[in-house]
Amino acid sequence: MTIPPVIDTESALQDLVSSCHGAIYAYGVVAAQLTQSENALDAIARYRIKRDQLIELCVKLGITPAPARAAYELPAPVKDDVSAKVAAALLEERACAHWATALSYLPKAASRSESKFLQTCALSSFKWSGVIKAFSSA
Amino acid sequence: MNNTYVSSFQIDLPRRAFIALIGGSALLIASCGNVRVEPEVSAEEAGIQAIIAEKSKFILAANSVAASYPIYASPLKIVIEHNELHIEALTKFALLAVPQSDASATLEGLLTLSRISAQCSAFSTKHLEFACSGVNPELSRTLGLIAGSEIMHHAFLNATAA
Repeated sequence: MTIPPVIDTESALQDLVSSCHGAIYAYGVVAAQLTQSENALDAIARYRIKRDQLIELCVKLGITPAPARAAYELPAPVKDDVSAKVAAALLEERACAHWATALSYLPKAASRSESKFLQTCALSSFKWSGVIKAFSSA
Repeated sequence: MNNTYVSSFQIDLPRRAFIALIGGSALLIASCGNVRVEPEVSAEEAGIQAIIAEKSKFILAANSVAASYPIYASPLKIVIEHNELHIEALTKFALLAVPQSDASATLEGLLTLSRISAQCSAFSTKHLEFACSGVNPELSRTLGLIAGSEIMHHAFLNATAA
C-alpha cells in the first residue's frame, strides 16, 4: 500500500494515526518473542494513548481518521528475543522520522505534545538498541 | 525694489509641489551618502545561524572534555561526529555564509560530561520549538530528526557517565 505524502494537517495526522496503528501491531509481534515483554507492553499502551489523542484531534478538526488495517509490515523480521529488540528499535526510529515530518503541519496547540512524543520515540529506540544515530530514517 | 518676479514665481510653483521637491531632493542626497545597507535576515535564517554557532561551540567544549577525560573520548567522538553532520545538514538551509567556529569561545559551564549531556537535552527541546515555529517543512523535518538524535545523545552520555 502506498503511503500518501505528508503535505498538510490532514495528511500529517493521518500519517501519525497510521504510524500508531502500525506500532501497536508490530509491538504485539515483538512482545510475543521477547523473553521479558514488559517494555513492549508499555510501548503498546503508550502508542494506544497517542493514537486516541490523535483520533480525538482529527475528529475535532473534522478529519475522519483511517481505520487500522488487519496487518502491517514489520520493520525487520522477528523470530527471537534479539531480532525482536532490533525490530522495536527500528520501529521507534521510524516513528521518530514520521513525527519529525509531521511537526510543521500540526496545529500549534498539538506541537508541544507531539514534540515530546518524538523525543520519547528517540529515547525508546536508543533503549532497545543502545545505538545512537545522527538522523532517524523512516 | 520691484518684487514682481517673486510674486510670479509663487504662482508658478505651488506650495505643495515646492515641499515635495525639497523632500525629494533631501531623500536623493541621503541615499547618495555612504549608507551601508545590511541584508535583511529572516527569523528562519537567524535561527539556523544561531543553532550552527551553538553547535560549533558545543563541539569545541566536547573536544575539550574528551582531551581532559580520555575515558570519555570515544563516546564523545560519536556525539561530536553527529553534531558535525547536523551542522552540515543545517548549512544547506542557510542562505548567508555560516560563521566559522571561534576557538576562543567561552566554554566555561560546559566542560564536564554531565554538562555536555545536559546541553544535548536542552538542544533537543530548543530545536523542536524552532521546528514548530512555522519554518519551512523540510527544515522542520531536519530539525525534528536532529532533536531526536540530540535526546539520544543525552541518554547515551548519561549511560556513559553512570
